[in-house]
Amino acid sequence: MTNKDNIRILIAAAKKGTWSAQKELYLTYADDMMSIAIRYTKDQSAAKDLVQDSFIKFFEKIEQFDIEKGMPGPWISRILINKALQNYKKENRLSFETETIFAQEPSRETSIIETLEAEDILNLLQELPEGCRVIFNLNVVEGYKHEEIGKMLGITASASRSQLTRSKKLLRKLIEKNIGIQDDRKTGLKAG
Amino acid sequence: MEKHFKNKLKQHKVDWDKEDLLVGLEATLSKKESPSKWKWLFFLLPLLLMVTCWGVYKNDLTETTLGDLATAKNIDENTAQKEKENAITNMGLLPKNNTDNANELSGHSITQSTESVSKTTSDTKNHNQKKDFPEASNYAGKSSSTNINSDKENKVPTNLILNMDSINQLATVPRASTAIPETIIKNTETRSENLSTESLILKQTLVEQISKDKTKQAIITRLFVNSENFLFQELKTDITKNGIEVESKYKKKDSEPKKYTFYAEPSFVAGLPQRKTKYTNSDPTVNAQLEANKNMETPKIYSAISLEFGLAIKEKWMIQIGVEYQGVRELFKYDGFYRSDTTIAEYDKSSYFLDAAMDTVFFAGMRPYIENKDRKIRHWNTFQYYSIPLNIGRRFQFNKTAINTSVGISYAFGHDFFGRNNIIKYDGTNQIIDNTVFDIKSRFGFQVGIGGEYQLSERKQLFLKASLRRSPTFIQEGYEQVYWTYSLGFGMRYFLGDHY
Repeated sequence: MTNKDNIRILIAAAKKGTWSAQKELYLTYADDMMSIAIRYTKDQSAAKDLVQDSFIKFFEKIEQFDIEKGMPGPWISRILINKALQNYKKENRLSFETETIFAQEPSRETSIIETLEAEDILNLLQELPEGCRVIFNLNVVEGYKHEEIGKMLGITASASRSQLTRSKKLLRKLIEKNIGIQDDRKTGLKAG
Repeated sequence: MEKHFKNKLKQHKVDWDKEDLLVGLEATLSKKESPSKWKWLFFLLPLLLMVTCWGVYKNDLTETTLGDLATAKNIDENTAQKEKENAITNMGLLPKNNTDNANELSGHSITQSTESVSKTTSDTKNHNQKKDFPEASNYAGKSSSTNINSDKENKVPTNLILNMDSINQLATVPRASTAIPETIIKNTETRSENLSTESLILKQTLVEQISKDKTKQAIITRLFVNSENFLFQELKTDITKNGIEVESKYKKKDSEPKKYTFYAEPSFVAGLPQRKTKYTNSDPTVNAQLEANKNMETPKIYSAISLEFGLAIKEKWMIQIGVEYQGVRELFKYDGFYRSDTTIAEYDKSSYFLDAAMDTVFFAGMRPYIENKDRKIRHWNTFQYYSIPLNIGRRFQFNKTAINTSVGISYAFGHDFFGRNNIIKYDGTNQIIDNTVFDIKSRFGFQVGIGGEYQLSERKQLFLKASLRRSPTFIQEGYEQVYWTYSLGFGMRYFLGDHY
């Protein structure tokens, strides 16, 4: 049987409320969801809560899920991201500070960026303001367009764009600061 | 930078123990699942309960009042007869051993005391002359109380005492100047040996009270229908003359139907189901295989049991809701390959084997063996679902019979499948498995029906109905199925309130 067949059977059983099927689905997608959750939270504990809440929501709404339209992974990740955004909004943690973006700094090519591992990137992202981090995640990592992000966050598309620019600029500064790259060294970061 | 960040983050796996969340997840899901499956029942049951209680309450109210009055009919005949004999003997109207005439009195239910009977002749003459009752109410009250005392002494059953109380209540309203209708006088003259003055007074009082009070009118009207009692027949004649209609309960066409009547309707339905299948798999090869194998499962029998509660509007329109269990039995046929357990069989021919020295050894007798067989397997599958039907009907009444048409929808709130199923795999092979899980795509089905009804009694109707039903839509991997059923059902309709 193909993977899709297995998932189809698991979904059918999960819709009936079979715990073994729900557990299997959870174990299949938990790692992927954790990878996403960790980008939207401060620490692993908060990420775990987010993953759990997302799976609970998924199993509650599983009747609406149609496997013919796609696999459950993207569906659960969308639930997770929405949940994360709700949490941000609920706690008023999303602030989009306006900052004038001056002329783009010259791009400096360097191989140092290529040496950054996922953990380093995550650490850098954690240091960003939450509004910037969320927009960076949504646009750069998840691939949402600025119009979509605007709708999700209740801001305009141009505000999303400017926040992304800001987050890139901040990231560049953080890289220079944390890794000790001197101004005269090329970082390869390209704003905009 | 973006590309690198994206790739790294997408590939990144967090080192964590995902089993940690399982306990909390299971606990949360188990809490939330249980009520959702039966949530419709929680809405429906209180509604049905309320309708039933209301109907039963109304029913009890009517039955209790009628029951109290109807006890008049059930008075111990022997006690009454004995008293009448004594009274008439004391008056000297009958010899002690002559009970034939006195037996005629047994038709009415009101006992007489010696005192009241002794006044009968003079009072009756007086009435004939004056045609009024200047002290009728006092007299009635006095004689009634005397009766009760007398009854107690003679150990008259309680129902008699209660009955007398009920009648006394009716008789205590003053009506001194009221004239007795001629009919009563006439009857009194022709049956003077049967009717006491007290009976006349009570009768007169009842006539007046019934004329005034619509509730009592309805009660007494009902009582007349059930009673062949002489006194009540007399009263019936008088009341009729006073312009009150005393209708038979079965003469439905002469009476105005009630606007709203509640009823309960248990029924059983059996029919022939047909399954319509739609293949939805993206792989046409699998669809073709499913189509080729569809004759493995043949729906054979459909059955349903339901309990519905309804509202009849002017006995023409009916709207009803309830709970229904529906089941489809399917015959599942397939070729199976069976291998028996090791069996010992006796061979009538010699058998042989090669021993270690490669010598051929022959022997005869017993030998274990395994038998392989291809078999045609027949298995009964059961598809069952529970639904809430909502029907609207129209009745066309013809005396005691009626034609009933109905149309409605049903909402399935639960379903189960018990049996075997043929699963077609993507590699082209198939597998017979037990108890497949079916999902439900659309919970709504519908039904249309036409049938006949027969009025069994005031409250009970029998009905027979032919119907066409469509089940909800069920889905299994790669296909959808719906059952269409031609069915015949019968049941009984029981009216809960005051039907006519």
